[in-house]
Amino acid sequence: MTDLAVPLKTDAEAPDRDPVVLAGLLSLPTLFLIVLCLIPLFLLVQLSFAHREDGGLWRAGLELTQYRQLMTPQFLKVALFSFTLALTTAVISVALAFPVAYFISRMKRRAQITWLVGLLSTLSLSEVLIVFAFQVLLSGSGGLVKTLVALGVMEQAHSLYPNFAAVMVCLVYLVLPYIILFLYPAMSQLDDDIPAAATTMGASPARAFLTVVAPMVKGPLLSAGLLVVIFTVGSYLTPLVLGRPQQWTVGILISNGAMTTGNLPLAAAQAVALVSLMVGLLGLVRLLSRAGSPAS
Amino acid sequence: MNEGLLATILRRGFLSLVALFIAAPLVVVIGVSFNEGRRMTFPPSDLSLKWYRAFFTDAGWMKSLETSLTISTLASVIAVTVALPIAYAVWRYNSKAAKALAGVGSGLFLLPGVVTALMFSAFWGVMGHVGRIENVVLSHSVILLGIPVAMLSVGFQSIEKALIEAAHTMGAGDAEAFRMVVRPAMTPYILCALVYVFVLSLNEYLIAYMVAGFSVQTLPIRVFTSLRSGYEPTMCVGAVIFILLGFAAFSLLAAIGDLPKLMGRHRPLEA
Amino acid sequence: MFGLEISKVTKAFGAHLAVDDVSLSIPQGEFVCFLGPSGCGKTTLMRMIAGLEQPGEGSIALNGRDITRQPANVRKFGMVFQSLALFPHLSVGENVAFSLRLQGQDARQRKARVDELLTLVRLPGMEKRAVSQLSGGQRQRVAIARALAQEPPIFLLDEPFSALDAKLREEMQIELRLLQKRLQITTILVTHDQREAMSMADSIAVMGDGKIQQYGSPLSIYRAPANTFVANFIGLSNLLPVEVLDHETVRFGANILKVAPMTQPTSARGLATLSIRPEDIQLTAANGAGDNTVSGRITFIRDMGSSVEVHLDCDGRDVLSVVQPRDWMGAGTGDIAHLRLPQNQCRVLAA
Repeated sequence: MTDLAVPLKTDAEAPDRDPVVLAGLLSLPTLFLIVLCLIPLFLLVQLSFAHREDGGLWRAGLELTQYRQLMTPQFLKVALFSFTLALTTAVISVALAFPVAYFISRMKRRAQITWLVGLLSTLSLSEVLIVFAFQVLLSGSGGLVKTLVALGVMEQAHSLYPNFAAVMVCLVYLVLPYIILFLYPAMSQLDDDIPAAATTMGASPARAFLTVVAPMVKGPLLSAGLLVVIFTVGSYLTPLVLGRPQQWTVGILISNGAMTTGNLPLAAAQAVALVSLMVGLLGLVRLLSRAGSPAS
Repeated sequence: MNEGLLATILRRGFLSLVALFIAAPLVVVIGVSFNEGRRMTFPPSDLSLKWYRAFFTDAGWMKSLETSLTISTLASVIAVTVALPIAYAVWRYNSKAAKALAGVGSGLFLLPGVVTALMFSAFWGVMGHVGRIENVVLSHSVILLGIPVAMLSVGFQSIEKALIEAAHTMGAGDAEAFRMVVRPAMTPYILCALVYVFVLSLNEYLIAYMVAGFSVQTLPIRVFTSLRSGYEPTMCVGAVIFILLGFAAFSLLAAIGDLPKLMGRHRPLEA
Repeated sequence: MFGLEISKVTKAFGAHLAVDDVSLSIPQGEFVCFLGPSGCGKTTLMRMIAGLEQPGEGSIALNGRDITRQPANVRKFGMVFQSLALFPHLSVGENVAFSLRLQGQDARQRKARVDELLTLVRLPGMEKRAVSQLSGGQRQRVAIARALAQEPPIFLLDEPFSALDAKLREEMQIELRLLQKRLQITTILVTHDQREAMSMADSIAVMGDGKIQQYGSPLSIYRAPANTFVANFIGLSNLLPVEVLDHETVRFGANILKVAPMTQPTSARGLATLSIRPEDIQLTAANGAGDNTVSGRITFIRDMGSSVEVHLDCDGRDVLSVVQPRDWMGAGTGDIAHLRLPQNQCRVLAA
């Protein structure tokens, strides 16, 4: 009987007034989202079925021309590469972020805040700036190449990009702060007594971590990985600047359609396809994790 | 004992490497910005503030900076203004409609940047309203809406419901309870949401470029175009300014709000 | 009339009846405890009195005026919440002055009143402190001072001491009782702790299943529980199934027992429950049989030093007797003992 009122609103205060107040509160946000979210989304879908005309123009229609173009091996290869790139980034960044988030959540308050400020500052940095910074860092005259030459690892100074590894490293860099911050709440909720209990029963710290802690954070880790896939599958600037044409992604195709070739309907179809694939992946993972977890 | 020491060394070493990885590109950019010559070498060959002077006296860069700050300020105010009633309705009335709006907001944030950029360029194109600064402001505020909704919800949830009831038993009506209890408790969260949206909007380039890039030159758009065309030493200065702005904004956020809690920590934390 | 009049109040949450047809009148200046297990509806009843919850049916009146539809902020009954609900963004003084600010008092008036109240709750000079700097007992006092600042017609406390440790709780109970006597303010306290209720209240309303099971002075409730629920919830009772023979005679197994005359006509010659407190049973050695006596076998003895608890098996029923050490005959487990049940302490309750 102690905490009865779960929603704050109790019927003590004129129940008939609530809908009016609520409507007043939500009218502006609803209008805002209808105009700026639902209508643009609808336009995007409509655009993907439109008829393309010369000079970057188009006319509303119900054509499948664009979607047929998606069925070419060329596009499918790029799409496959985009997802492979995203999955690889996900695995690497989660593997890296998990221990970092765990250690941060165990630090003293001041140290935690320092890390959080640092992470938030890099997280918010424009992809433009980070890509540019990596361009400088990996260039022949950047600090990294000089260090490697001085250490004798590299014989002659030459640029470390464009290639797949450069794209990979930069993408990991981009998502790492997001993932650390995403895992941080789950890590700080972890009860230290549980691995401690495992230790008292004879498990080594490493074993306790693997057998007790890891299963407990499986869910957040999976979600974090999924988040990385969502973030990077549409990546555009990083592969464009730090990669070769072999490393082009759907994101680059979409932006080319929109900005260079002026084929907006095709770009829209590619965007719709990309989002559909993402949603499909999301649904699949949900289905699998529900089937895999006992009664939850 | 020895094992514990080894673990500590390993942990510290690992964290230092991660910190180095995170800092390296930033340090390099900051270093390069002090170069005397036009080439981007690191460590800088000759220290000079030449490019800073060039940046701050260049009317184009200054205009871009001003445009960027204007867009981000307006976008953060709009996003927070729209998010506030949504988060409030979810908390106070447990409203399904408000939850749906919050869901739409966060879903939009998860869409790839290229997709939303294309979506908005089509939208403003159909509206016949191309190349205007307000396109960027509105597009940013709707894309980033999920962030203030989430942050303000954390804030509302931290207000114990008994506090409102206590205010009622002391003679406060709905409006007074909101003014005297809810608002002061929410102020740090509102400020934090403003800062966060501001910084993200400040750094967004793709939507800005695609809805108004030909006429509205924000700082990231300028960096973006010069990145595609060729290196320009003042670019580094622009980048440094962004790094510093972000760092200052989040330090401010840490000072006004409980950062660990905002980031989702529920257990209290020793000092 | 002066005081609080609750009549036929009912409150349902969905299909669950939290408060079921409760009527109660509390005279001006009384200290009443709502006592009951968790989920019995006592907090809901208090929240309806405060105006935080609207009754589904029935009415509430104060000093003869119907206030059922009055919102909480018009009633302004001072309330101390279980979590205390102190405002974290305000100092001690600002918390206490909250209602004064709403009344539009100026800074000087507020300061004088805050000083007076903080002295009253023995926290003089603490008004500048942050709430987070206070100990549990100090917070408790601030919450009390804050609720009293508006000079409420009724003072409500919802399990205010449940978070305190045992020693501090007793101190606060005494302090609150003294304060209440001094201010002569009508006070209602919700608690699940029967010791708290017994030691503080003028009257106790024992609640169970959304109903008031019994309302009366602590001693009358203890001495004469109205039903098995009250007998069980207040102190310890032996409850024995009996068959009613007439208005003061029952049969327990093979024994015929005289009981306190039944006031209400119990279902004549039906089944009923006999209630007797453990300390009212007189134990004698096996051969000292007399009137109103049953015999039993000792199953377990617990010597607590200040008293001896003896469990006996009487006709297949576990019966507890608590005896003073000087009256303890010193038998052992397995011995047969005789239990004398004084007629006036044997109460028959509906089965």
